[in-house]
Amino acid sequence: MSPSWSPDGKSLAYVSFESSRPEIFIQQLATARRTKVSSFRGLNSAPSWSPDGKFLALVLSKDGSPDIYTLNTTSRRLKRLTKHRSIDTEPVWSTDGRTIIFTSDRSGAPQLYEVRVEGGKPRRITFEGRYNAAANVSPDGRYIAMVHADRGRYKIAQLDRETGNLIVLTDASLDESPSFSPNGKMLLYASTLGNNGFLFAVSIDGRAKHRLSDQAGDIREPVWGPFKASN
Amino acid sequence: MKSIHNIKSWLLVALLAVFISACATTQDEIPADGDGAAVDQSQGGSSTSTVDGGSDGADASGLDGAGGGDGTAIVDSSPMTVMEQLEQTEGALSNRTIYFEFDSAKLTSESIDILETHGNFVAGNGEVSVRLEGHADERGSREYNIALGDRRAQSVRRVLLFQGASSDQVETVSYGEEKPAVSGHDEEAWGKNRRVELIYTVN
Repeated sequence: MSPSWSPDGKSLAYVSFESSRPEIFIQQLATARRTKVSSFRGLNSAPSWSPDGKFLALVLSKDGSPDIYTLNTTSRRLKRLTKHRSIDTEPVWSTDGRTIIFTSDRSGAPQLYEVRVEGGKPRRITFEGRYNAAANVSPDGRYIAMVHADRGRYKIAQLDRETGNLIVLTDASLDESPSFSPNGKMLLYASTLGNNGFLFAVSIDGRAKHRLSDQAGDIREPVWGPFKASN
Repeated sequence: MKSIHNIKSWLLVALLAVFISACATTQDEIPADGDGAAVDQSQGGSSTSTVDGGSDGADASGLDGAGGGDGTAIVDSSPMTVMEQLEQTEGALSNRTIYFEFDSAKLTSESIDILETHGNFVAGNGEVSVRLEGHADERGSREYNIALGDRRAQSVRRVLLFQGASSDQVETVSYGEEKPAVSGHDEEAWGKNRRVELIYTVN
């Protein structure tokens, strides 16, 4: 689970439970060669590539509760970025690669925070609602999409970092895993209808919404590939 | 000597039968099927402990049991084996699923009571190890739910360790929302999916 594209589109990082406990692998798509990069006691989850492709942000609980780390994929050096007894998880990189945005329930409920890659005190960035999680940053860095709970319904929302406004884009009750298109105009997400998961896309103003997948199978965790259409 | 051997082999056959039937029933849900299985178990309990008394010569209480031949004395002096305790369908040890409130890893006092029994059992039996599988309901983000399942498994682990279980006997893993116990998208299904399952292995 938890696939993350490398910025050059040549590799995927993901979590596998094949050994009956979570481990993080990097797999090259062309050669299918894969490397196990994280297999600590406890959680090894939520890998996310840095924009320069040199680091993975990831979540480990080897030192107690789940915290955010970065891993240099060449030297394999680990750096711990957060140290809190709360749940800190699902790190994503800012477009310029200088900060990492993540989910933490240190306030008592999940909210989004931002921390500099060299470390320091995380800063809270969402304040509306009791549940904001699963951040995804738009390619221009202006918007952060997230799962936002509103009276027990889980929807996709986006935060405009210039104005500070949070806009709710969807109106279902079990939406998750938002992912910006490479041109930043659409958001892909997963939603549950009846007993099945489906793939949807919504324009970033919330006006146009399409169901992209048909009945076949149960769809989860979409991520948009890194390639821009060359039109 | 010959007759003792015969008795032993008969008892082994009986033990095997009881073991097989116990294997077939222990996976059942506790409340619904409790009655019939409990009868099987109580019969199985006395015959297997007799076998233990006869065959396990190194055990002092076992020797007593073989010599005495008195039914009640055997049951009293020869404790159930680890497998037999795990195969019981009643009592705290047979309760292997701990449930949680939404977005919480807090244990109820009832859960703590159950887990203290598990902790004492693990602490008292070095050959036993237990895997704590944490789960969450489907709502919200998948990664957060993985972390939540881990937090739930850790709260269960703490009770077991506090009772004296050793940390290498207790393993935790979280599946988050990926392996629901029941399908469905309502409060009833969610309540059954927010859980930690205790999976035992006897080495």
